[in-house]
Amino acid sequence: MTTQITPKLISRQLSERYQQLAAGMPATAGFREAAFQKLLQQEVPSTRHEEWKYTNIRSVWKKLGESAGETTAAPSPHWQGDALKVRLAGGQVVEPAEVETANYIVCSLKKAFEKHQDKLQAYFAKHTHLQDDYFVLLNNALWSDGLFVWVKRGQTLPQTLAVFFEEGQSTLENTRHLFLLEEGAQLECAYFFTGDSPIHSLHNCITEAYLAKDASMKHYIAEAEAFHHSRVLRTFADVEQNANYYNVTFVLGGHVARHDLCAALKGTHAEAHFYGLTYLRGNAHTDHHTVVDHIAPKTQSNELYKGVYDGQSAGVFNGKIYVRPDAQQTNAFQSNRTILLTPEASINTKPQLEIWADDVKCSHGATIGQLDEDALFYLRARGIPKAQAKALLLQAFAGEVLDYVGNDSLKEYLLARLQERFS
Amino acid sequence: MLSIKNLKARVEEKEILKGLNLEVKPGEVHAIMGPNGSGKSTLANVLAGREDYEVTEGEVLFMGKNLLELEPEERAGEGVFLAFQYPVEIPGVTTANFLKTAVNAVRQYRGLDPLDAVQFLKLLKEKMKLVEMDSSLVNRSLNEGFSGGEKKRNEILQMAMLEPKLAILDETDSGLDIDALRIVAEGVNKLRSKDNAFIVVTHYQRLLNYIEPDYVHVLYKGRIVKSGTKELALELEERGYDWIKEEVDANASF
Ligand SMILES: Nc1ncnc2c1ncn2[C@@H]1O[C@H](COP(=O)(O)OP(=O)(O)OP(=O)(O)O)[C@@H](O)[C@H]1O
Ligand SMILES: [Mg+2]
Repeated sequence: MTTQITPKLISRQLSERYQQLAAGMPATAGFREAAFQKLLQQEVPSTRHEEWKYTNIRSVWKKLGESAGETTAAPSPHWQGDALKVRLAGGQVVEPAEVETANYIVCSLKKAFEKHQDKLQAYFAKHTHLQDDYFVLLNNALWSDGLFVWVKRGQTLPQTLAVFFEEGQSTLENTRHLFLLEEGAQLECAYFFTGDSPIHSLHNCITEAYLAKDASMKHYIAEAEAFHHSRVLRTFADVEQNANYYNVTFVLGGHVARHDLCAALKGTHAEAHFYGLTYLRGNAHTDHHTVVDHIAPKTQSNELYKGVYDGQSAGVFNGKIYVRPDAQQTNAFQSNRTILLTPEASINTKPQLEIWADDVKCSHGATIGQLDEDALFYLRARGIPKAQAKALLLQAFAGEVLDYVGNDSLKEYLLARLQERFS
Repeated sequence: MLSIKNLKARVEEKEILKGLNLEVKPGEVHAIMGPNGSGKSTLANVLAGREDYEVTEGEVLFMGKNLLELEPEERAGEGVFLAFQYPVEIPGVTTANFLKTAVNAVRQYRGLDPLDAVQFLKLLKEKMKLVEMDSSLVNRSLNEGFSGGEKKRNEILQMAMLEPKLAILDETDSGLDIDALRIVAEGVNKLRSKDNAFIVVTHYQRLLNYIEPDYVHVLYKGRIVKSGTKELALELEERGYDWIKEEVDANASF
């Protein structure tokens, strides 16, 4: 028996919500209206949808609001590093580190629509890869709040921006974030997803980041929450000449996580660096879909995604690389490496390269294996107990990604989270 | 110390050890020689507890305990050490971190307090001197990119750190240059005492000039077919294995 989730089924609840939001933020009403009308024509994608083949988001959708029973997973401690802290709960910015100087602004997106329309108008929802699929439309129509960050030309955000998302307070959260980095601006930002509410929930989170010439953004993402929180996380970076977008994502918990990470390299020497480490247990599921669009010549991208899957957990990696006709002398590297700890764990990995330029260096590779038995025996033969030997090997495997975290305090925090899980 | 009786073991349905007997007492050095593929490494791995090898018959007692019942890490704790013929490369784990983890795991097994960082470094320095190992090696990933000789020296360093009662050296001499061979042999000799024992698997008499064995055994087709004193090694060096093979194969056809 399959219950079709028709748009009608969701519209009663959601249309009320959408009307409230439109009324509360008049500046966004028209935009929301257009999206909502399109949304009514669409359905939550099923696994028949090419982009959702291995991730059954429909079954997640159907469970929303249901009780998850006992929550056993103890919540991870928060990162305590030196940072400008922002907290979102129930889709609202509840602890606004609202800062506004001549050099930078960090505030809620809601507020930005009142105060900084001039700055955001040209960028909000303008990313070329932001297409009208179900979750984008849902977010366009229903985003409740999020962050607005602007850094002036040549300036650097003096502290790491730490964004704590407390999920699960509402069944469905739609948050929206916009980063504007002017020429030569720099910032480091870390997203933390936490939450241990006892209901099945979904967080639909869209971030757009616009990096002007010479700008650089380091973006860390850490997910380590309870086993019934799910997430569709989309990040779109627009990278101009010499600018550098750098993302390291750790998925260490949660139920279903779908990540779409996309960088459009629009100016010469623009760079995108995507690194990911996934460690899943139980029947958790993580789907990384990446897109690097090399539009300008001499652009560079580097992707390394590593995964360790235990229990019946499952991973998906789909890496699209486009090299447009003008993007000569492009370098693009992609690698996906997986360790499956049990016969029930699985990974679906697929590189998708579309290259229209001829003078390019592109490479991609995927490896899937078990824990190295010879290495395990070697360690045990030296007296190291099996569990500890396993942890040591997994940590070594993960270390390569961890080393890409440039913030020492954050790296230490993440290492501790990994060690908790590996031992 | 070690008593092996009628040991039979197989890997992937193929019987490799076919009824092997060996007695080793504290303070002794036994050399095991034999043609390629005769089962020397298999014996070493079975003693260390590698799971790919299935023991089908026989018993192995180590210090009165049934060795075959123990996990590999328990055997190491009890004092069995195998210097691997082919040491494994482990990227991402530094040699120093590995050694510290191993030393403290073994100490815990033996009911000793763990070494702190200072004590550990002191021990490490002392033992590195013993095998004349370059200090830059221990900060690199375990065996990764080590030369053949460096890997073998690293095995002896590990042995020195873990202070086993019984050390099995599986062709530790192969791949060593002449100086390294002497250093490794001297290292072994310094660790020799009346309480510990060595099983030295080798193809060459040369190592045995440095590490003088009390007994020399020939392993052929999964059995020890000839035992003698160090003179046997000299004889083998001169005559090869054919005469032994002929003897054995002639007997087998009865
Ligand atoms: N994992 C395995 N799978 C299949 N065959 C194996 C395996 N390990 C060992 N063998 C076989 O068992 C036999 C004995 O091998 P072993 O390594 O013990 O010989 P060895 O005496 O140490 O030889 P060498 O002097 O060349 O080191 C060989 O024929 C080898 O091919
Ligand atoms: Mg061998």
